[in-house]
Amino acid sequence: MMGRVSGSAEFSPGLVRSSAPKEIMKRLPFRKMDKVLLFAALALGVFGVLMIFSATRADNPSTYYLKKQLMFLMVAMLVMFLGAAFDYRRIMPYSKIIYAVTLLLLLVVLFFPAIGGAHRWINLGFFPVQPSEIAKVVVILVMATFIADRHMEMGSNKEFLQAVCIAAGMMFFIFLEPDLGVTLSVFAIMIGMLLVGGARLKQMAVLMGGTVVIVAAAIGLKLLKAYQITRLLVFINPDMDPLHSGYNLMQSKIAIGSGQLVGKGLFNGTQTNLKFIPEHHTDFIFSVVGEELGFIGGVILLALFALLLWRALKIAVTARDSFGTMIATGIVVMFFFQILVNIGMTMGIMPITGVPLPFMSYGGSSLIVNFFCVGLLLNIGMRRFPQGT
Amino acid sequence: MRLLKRAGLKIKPDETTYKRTDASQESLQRRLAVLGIIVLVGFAVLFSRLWFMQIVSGNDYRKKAEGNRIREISIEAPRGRILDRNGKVLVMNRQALTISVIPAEMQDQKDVVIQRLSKLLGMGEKQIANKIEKSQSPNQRAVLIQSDVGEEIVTYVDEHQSEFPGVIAGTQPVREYPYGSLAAHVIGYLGEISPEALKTKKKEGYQAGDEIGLSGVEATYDSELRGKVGMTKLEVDANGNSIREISNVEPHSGENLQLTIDQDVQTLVEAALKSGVEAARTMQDPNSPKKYQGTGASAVVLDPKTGEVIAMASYPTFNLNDFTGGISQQSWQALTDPKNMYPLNNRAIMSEIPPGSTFKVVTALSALQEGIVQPNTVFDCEHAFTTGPFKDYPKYCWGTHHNIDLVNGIVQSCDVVFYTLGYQFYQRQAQNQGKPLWEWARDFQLGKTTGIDLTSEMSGRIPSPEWKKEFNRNNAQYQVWYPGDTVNMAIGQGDILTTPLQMAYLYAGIANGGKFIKPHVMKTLQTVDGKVAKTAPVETAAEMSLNPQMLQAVISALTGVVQGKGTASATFQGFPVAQIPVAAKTGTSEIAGKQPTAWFCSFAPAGDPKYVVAVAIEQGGHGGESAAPVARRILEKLFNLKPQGQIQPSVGD
Repeated sequence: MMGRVSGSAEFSPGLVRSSAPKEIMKRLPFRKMDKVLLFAALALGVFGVLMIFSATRADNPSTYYLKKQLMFLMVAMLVMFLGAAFDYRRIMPYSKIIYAVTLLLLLVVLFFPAIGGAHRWINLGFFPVQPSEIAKVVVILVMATFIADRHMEMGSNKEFLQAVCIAAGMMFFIFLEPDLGVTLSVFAIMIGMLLVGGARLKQMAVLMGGTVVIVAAAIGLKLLKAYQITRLLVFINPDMDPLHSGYNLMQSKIAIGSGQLVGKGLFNGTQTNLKFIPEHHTDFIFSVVGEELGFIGGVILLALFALLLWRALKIAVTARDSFGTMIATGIVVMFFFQILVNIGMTMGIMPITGVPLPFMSYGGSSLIVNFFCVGLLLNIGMRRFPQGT
Repeated sequence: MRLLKRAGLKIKPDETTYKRTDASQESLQRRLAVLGIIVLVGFAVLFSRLWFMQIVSGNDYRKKAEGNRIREISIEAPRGRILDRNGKVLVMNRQALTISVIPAEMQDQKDVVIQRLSKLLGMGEKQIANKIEKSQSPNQRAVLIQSDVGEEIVTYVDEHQSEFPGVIAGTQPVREYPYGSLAAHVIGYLGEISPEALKTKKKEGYQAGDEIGLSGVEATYDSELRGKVGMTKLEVDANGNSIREISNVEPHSGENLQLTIDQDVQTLVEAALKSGVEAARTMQDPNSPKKYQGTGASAVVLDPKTGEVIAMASYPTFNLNDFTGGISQQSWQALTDPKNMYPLNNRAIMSEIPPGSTFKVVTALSALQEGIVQPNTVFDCEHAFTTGPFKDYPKYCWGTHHNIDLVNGIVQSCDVVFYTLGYQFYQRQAQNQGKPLWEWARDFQLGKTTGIDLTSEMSGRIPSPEWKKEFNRNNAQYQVWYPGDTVNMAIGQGDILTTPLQMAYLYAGIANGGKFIKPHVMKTLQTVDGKVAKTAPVETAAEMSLNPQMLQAVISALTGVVQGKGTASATFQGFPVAQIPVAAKTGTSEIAGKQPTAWFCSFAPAGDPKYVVAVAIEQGGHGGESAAPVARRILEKLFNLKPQGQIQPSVGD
C-alpha cells in the first residue's frame, strides 16, 4: 500500500506558511484523522482527571488538583491540535536545533533549586516546566530523523553507534537531575526504535552488555543514590521491610487487591481516602483505579491503553514514509514502557522507579507532552495518503 | 534560508529518500509485528496480574485493607483491689498518665518518633526502642513507654499528634501500694506476660502485652483479680488520626481480694523480724571469728482453727511500688543480685532448712504413740550418747542434764533423750516393728507442701531409706541407711528439711489435737460493689488420732519451755504466762559450712490456741537468743500486751 503512493510530489514547504488559518482547516486532511485514537486519548484524559479528583478530594481546597489538571488538559488539547496541524515532515530539517536546545534546557535545569532531592523543574513563574518530559519526545523526533535519513539501516555499526549516542547524550543529562524514570523511558525508546530501525540482534546484545557494565560501574562508584538502590532491592523482596521502603508498595497492592471485581465505588476507596497510598494522584494513580473501580475499571483502563497503542502501531505501519513510521514507533514504545512499568509497579511486579502513568498521573508537562504525541500520531495518520485529495 | 541550507539543516524533501522498497517494507512490517506482540504480551501480564490480585486473592487484600483502616485500642480494666482482713486497702489502682506506642502505626517514621519521644520523656532512645522491640504484640496493641508522665507532656503529644504517628497519650490504671513493702511477698508483683505463659493461658483470654501477677496472690488469684479488657474500634487514616468511632466495649474491673492478713499485725511482725535480724548480727558466733550474718528470716502467724494466715513476713523485702508501670532495669538487677540475698523470695514458704530441736515434738509424740516411752521415763544425759554403735562415734548433747525425764527433755531440749528415742526407732524399724519415725513425720504433714494459695511453695524433705537410695542412685556407697540417720532425724538434723510455714502448720496441728487445717491467705473475693462472691473454706487436710493424755503431756512440756529451766525462759520473763500460757519450742539447726539457723515455734494460749507463731532466722544463731525475742514481740502484739522494754535473749539450744 505504501509502495503505491510513490511518485506524488505534492509536498511543499510553503504550504502552511502561506495559508490563512481558515484555509488550513479547509486544506488539512482532518477528515482522514484516526477518530478511534482521538477517542481513546480523550477518554484517558478525562478518566485521569476523574481519578485525580477522587485521590485528592481530601486535600484543601478539595478541587485544587482537579482545577489544575483540567487546565492542563485544555492546554494539552491545544498542543495536540498544533501537533497535528503542520506537516510532520517539516520537523526533519530542525531536528539538530531541537536537539541542541533540549540539551541546553537539560543543562540549565541542573542550576535550578532541587525539589525533593532532584533538579527536574525550570520554574517559569506561572508554570514549572519539566525538560526531561520534553526530552522524551525530542529523542523520538531526532532519532526518527536520523534513522529515516539513513534509510532505516541501523544494521550498520557506525549508524547504530551514532543513533545510540543521540539517546545516550540525553540520558546522561536526565540521569544527572536525577530522574531514573525518564532515563529508563529514553533507554526503552532507543531500544525500540533501533530494533524497528533495522538493528541486528548481535548489535543489541553488545548494547545490552555495555549497559550492564555501565550500570554495574555506576553502582560500584556509588553514582546511584542510596534510595534508588534500596528501592531496587525492595522490589526484589518487598516484605523485607514492610514499614519503610516497601510500605508504599504494600499499601498499593492492598488497595488494588481489595478493590476486587467491582471496586469500592468512585470516591469510596478507604486506602485512598485515608492516605495509606502515598503519591496516590501521581505515580500511584492506578492504585486508586484498582481500589475504587475494581477489576472492571482496571480492565477498562487497560483496554483504552491497548486501543491507543493498537491505533498507534497501525499508524506506524501505514505511515507514508520512514520518518512517520519511526516517530509512531517511538511513541508506541514510550507509552507502552510507561504503562507497563507504572501499572506493574503498583501491582508489585515492577520496581518503583517513578515513571508516571500516561494521561492518568497528575502533572502538566507529562500530560501536554503525551497529547502532543497523540497529535503527532494523528498528524502522521492523516497524511498517509498523497495530499490534496 | 540560504544559510540554513548550507548548514545542512534545511533539507529539500525528496520523496525517494523516504520511500521504501518492497523488501524493506516487508522487513519493517515484521519488526513492527514483533513490537506489537511484545505489547500484547505486556498487556496480558498486566491483565493476569490484575485478575490474580483482585479476583483470586481479593478477599485477603480486603481483610488487610480493613486491618489498615481499623485501629483497636484496648482499654485496660482496673485490677481488683487487695484488702486486709479488716478491709484496709493494701493494693489499689490509680489512673496514671501514660505515653504508649502502637508500633505498626509508626510506619517509616519509627526512628524519628523515637528520637522525639526520647527528647520529650528524657528517656534513652535505646531504652524506648528496646521496649518496642520487647513487646510481643507486633501490631495493634499499645506498648507502654512511660507511666506517670507530666500533664504537659500529654498535652504536647495531643497537640502535635502529626509529629507523633502511632503515639498515644492517655491514662491507664496502675497498681498503687499505700504501704509500700508491707506484705510484699504475700501480695506479689505484676509484670508482662511471658511468651511461655501466653501459650498456655491464651485460651483463658490472655493476650500478648497483658500484665499478669507473677508472684504472691497477684499470681494465684490473677484470673479473679484481672478484669475484662475493654475495646474501642476506631477508623483511622494513615497518620493514625482517628476519623470516627466504630464500636466501644467498656472494660470490666476485676474482683476485690480480701486477705486473711491483718495489716496491723503484719506491720509489727515485719518490724520485729527486721530488728531480730539486726540484733542477731550484733552477736558473736562462738564457732567462728565472725558475728552472725543473719542472711534472711521469716515469720508466720497462723490461726490454727481456721488455717488463716494472720501475718507472713520474709526478710529482706522489697518495695512493690518499684514495679508500677514496669520495673526499671536497675531495680530489677538489684532485686536479683545474689549479694542482696534475694529479697523477692518468700522465705516463709521457700526456705528449706533442717528444723533442729523444734522437730523434737514429732519425735516425742511419735515415741509416746508407739509406746516406746512414757512422759516420766527417765534418761541419763552425761553430755555424750554412746549406746550401741555410737560407742565409737559418740553424739553429743549441747549440755549435761544427768537424770532427766522426757517432759524435761523437751523443756531443756536435751539431745541425749532424743538420740535414745531415735536409736530405739532405728532398732524397731530394723526389726520391722511399728511405724518408722519418717512415716510419723509425714503423718505430721512434713515433707510435702501445705497447699497454701501462694506460688513457689517448697515441699521440704523427710528422709527415709527409700529416699536415700534414690537420692544417691549414682553413688552406691552412700545408699545405706545408718543408725545415725534416724538418730539425727530425731533431733531435726541431718537430711531433714522444712519450711517455716510447714513448722507453723505442724504446731497448728498439734495445737488442734492432731487436726491439720490447710493454711490460706485468701479470706473472701468480693465484687466491685462489695458483695462477697466467694469465701475461703476451712479445709481439714488431715486428722491424726493422738492419745489425748500423751498430747497433753507434750503440750504442757512445751509450756515449760518459756518458764523455769526452759530454753526460752529468759526471753519470756515478765510475760503473763499464767493468763496466756505459751507452748513453745526453740531450735538451732546446723547446716555444714553455714552458721546455725535460729528457730522458734509456738502457740498460745496453750489450752485454747488462738495463734501459732513460727520464726526462723537463717544464720542467725541459737533459737533462744535470736528467734525467741522476735516471737515474744509478736505474741505481745497478738494479745494486746504492753510491750516489754528490753527483751532478754535466752542462752542455750
